[in-house]
Amino acid sequence: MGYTAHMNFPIHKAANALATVQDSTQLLTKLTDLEYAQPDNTDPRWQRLPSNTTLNLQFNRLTKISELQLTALRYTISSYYPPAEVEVLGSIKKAAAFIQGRNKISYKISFPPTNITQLRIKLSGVDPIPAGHFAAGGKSWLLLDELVIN
Amino acid sequence: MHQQLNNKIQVAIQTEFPDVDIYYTLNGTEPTPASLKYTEPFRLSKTAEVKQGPS
Repeated sequence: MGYTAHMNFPIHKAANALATVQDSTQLLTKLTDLEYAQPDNTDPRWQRLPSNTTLNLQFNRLTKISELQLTALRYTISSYYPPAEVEVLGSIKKAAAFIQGRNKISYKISFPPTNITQLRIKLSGVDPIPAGHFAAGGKSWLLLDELVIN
Repeated sequence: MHQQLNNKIQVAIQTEFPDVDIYYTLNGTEPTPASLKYTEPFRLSKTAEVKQGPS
């Protein structure tokens, strides 16, 4: 066999759930559409968001969940940083330190199985952009892929 | 490339090289000539890690 390629395709409990930014009614369909982005900031499947964002995920029925996975693109030359902190239902997980570069950063947050109809996800970005970057002190952005709920 | 169809994901595999057979797996294991041979786009109804390679 020659070189192989692989890609993970989660089909999860939040597929087509209604995702919005808190206090907004605009639907962010890219976060629950089962469309998975490539590590390229021009891929339209990424959802661009301000660096500090709280997301609401509305389920259409009571759903038992125990895990959130999300992927953010780190593409620092264009001021895209992954979240420094992800908070789900009061549970806090912190990400690792950052270096310059580009890659997909995956988060996996597990919790006891819980019945919910709505999930709130608070994302705290790298704000401001850290020293050493040409835009140090400036505003960073998030590029998020699917919110995978299991 | 892939697209959603009624909560399923349709996956199409392309290669830059003509006239090669593509084999794939759905569980993340390395494909071999004994694996599934790609002939046309297929649909996933549950989570899968697709790994593909030419023969």
